[in-house]
Amino acid sequence: MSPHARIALIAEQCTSCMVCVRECPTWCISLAAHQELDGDPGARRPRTVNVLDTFTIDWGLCMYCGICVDVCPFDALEWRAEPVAPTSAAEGLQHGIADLRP
Amino acid sequence: MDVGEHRVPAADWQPHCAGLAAAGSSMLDMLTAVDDPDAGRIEVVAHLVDVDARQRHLVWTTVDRAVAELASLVEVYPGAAWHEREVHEMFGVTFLGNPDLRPLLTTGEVGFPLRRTTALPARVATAWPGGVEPSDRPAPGRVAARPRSRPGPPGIPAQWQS
Repeated sequence: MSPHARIALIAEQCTSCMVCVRECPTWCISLAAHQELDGDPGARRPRTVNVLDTFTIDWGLCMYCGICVDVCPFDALEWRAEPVAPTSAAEGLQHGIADLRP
Repeated sequence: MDVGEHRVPAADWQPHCAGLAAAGSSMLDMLTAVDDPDAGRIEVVAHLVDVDARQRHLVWTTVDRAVAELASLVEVYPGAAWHEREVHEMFGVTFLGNPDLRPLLTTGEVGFPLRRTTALPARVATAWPGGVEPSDRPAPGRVAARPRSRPGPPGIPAQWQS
């Protein structure tokens, strides 16, 4: 079993599907995304893709249950061994995409 | 350890636990409750342990949600006082014979927090982060897709949501 110290986000695999945000029992994950056209813009109906803008885990709310890791359909969240760094203010526990990198 | 399950009427609650205590279940491990608003009742459970015989007992009873009164076990297990105080605070069950049912945490504004019908102010006042969709900010030239029904926060009754 891997050590459950913090959760990392592999942003390249995230599709902004919102499943982790909606399943989190403590509401500690928030996510902002927008849609862009993908592929040939001249095509009759170009595909749209979700583009992740921000992804935040508030470690002050997280209870380390791991439901988000389990439900992620694209394995974009995973457990990491190194713990969340201590801070002097509650805002410091809000980690964005850069802080959550594996 | 073996677990014996007992379901007793509320009137037999105190005598039944006293009987188990006399038979050797000297330890009250836990006493708590489960709210069942659909059935209009609250289930109260005590976990008693006979340490020497390595035997556990789960004693269940039900009380009416509107009345919610039950005989106290403090005469049998003095340590039940604390558990009953918590159950009284969280579920609103009054234990007749318990000398001190003062609330530990609540100040009375929220009601009984562990009754399922009690709205939790933090959950009502906080915006649910799952309420947004990536399609709210569509690609240029596209219109935002409006899902027919937006999902609400799981486990939160619709009447709590504004």
